[in-house]
Amino acid sequence: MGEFDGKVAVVSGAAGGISNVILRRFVEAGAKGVLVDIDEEMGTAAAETLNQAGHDVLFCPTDIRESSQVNAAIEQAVDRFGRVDILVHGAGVGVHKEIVDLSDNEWDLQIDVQLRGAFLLSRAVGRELIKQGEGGRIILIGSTSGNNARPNSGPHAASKAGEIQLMHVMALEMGKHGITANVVSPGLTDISGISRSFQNPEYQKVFVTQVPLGRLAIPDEIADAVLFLGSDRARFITGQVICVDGGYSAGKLAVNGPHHATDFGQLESDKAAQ
Amino acid sequence: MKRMSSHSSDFAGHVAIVTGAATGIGQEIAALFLRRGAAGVVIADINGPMAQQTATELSSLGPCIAIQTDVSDEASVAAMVKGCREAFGRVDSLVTSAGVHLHKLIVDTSLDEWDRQLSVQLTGPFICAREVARDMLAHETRGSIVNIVSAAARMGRVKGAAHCASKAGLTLLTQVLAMELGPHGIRANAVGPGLIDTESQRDEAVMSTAYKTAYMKEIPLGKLGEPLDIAEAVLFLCSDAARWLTGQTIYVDGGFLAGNLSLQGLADLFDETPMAHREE
Repeated sequence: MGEFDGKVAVVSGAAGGISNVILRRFVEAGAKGVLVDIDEEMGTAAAETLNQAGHDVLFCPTDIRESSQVNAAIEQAVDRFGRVDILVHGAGVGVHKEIVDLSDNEWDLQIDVQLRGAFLLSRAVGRELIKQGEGGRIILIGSTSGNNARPNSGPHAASKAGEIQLMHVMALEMGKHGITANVVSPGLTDISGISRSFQNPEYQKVFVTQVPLGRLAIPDEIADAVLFLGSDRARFITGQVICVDGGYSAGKLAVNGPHHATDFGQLESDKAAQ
Repeated sequence: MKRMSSHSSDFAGHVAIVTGAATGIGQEIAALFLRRGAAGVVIADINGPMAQQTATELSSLGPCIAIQTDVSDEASVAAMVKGCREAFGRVDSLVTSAGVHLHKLIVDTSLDEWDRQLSVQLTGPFICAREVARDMLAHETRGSIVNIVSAAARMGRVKGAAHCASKAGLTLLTQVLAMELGPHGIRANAVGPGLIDTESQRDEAVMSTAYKTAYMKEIPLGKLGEPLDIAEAVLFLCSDAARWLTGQTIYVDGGFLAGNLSLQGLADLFDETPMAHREE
């Protein structure tokens, strides 16, 4: 008996990375899976892997920037499984440049996949959930950069902040239908070997110094929070942003040295130097 | 790796202290720990006889004891932690749920009233977290602290000055706990209930029907929360499934904090306005 027996979970970007782990965890807990991804080759392989393990996963090759493709994917999911219950939007792209160096296309690509994609998927799934009349779950994968900016993250941070307000409005509008909407924001997560994007090891090393729990996350830890929000246990939680980040967003850990007013030794040496 | 986080064996061997646990949300949290297999739960409350009665009631679910505790008193809190260790041999989780009711305009609030709510709801969790953290550090327990805050930590409320201030303070105290204890593998998070259907809040003297009716219009999910909804979030945060979650506040409020739902009516006004570029 799995916690998600009889449920259907749609996960975007699930051919690889954290989203793939989230999809796997849902189907391992009893759900039927709908794998939404733009990459046909990777998507086919990822669905095959899960189906060979005895799960029931439908791959819908989809460019989530196109509403016709998104609507078709959700239609296909309902045709196959009879319903949808949970949407997880995890699809994303990597752009890592200063704003003054960004091209129009780079901005558009990240905003369209991450924010427009969130809207199109949520609209299609939201319409279906309202029609079904049994509530549902929408979980957008955010990022700590959604409310904690860092250099080189212009379109990423803007899209994730936008997703947060999109989620808030969905919580307000869809609450009356018993649909909850939340964001899970991962901190830096070790996706080496499972993701299409590359993480600079130097960047990882510096980032970890800002994490109170002192390491990178593993994808299962992000999935744990997503599964909680997807479950009946979280039925009264909506409109929330949960950062699964080892404490990164709790404060600026880097500002953790001697304090000018309380470190008297420092003051003494300052005096001596004068 | 533990995967089935809703199973009853989830908290096998786990020992929790819950303050304010004689009644209401605290009691529900204590009960859920026991239902999920906790090895011991301390029902800490300033009302000793009521704590004892709750412990007696919950004892059919699993091992629990009552310890009369004034959370704003260092010696009392130290005795609570010691009592837990003596009874159950360890402390894995602390949940600070003790609170007091006060509903007055700032200009009508006495310093004693202000001090009392701050001492129970902010200083109390500080003392409890400090004492439990010292115990966890001494025994290298990779434990979890969950402070019960409130939607009032983020949203001002008329006649709620001391409540709002204490809960906002407790939210930031939680973040500093997360930063300082994180390197030792100890996590600190908060759960913020919205309006929850507890026995005390069904008392008209504690909360008027008019207030509840007005509040309900701001809850997207259209109902009050149940104590179990809070308990489930607390248990998730204390479980292995939340091992990467620290410094967070999860509001369990049916969407109250997401925005201004009562402005729904104004949208209808716009619907009457002819727009050149209306879709569909």
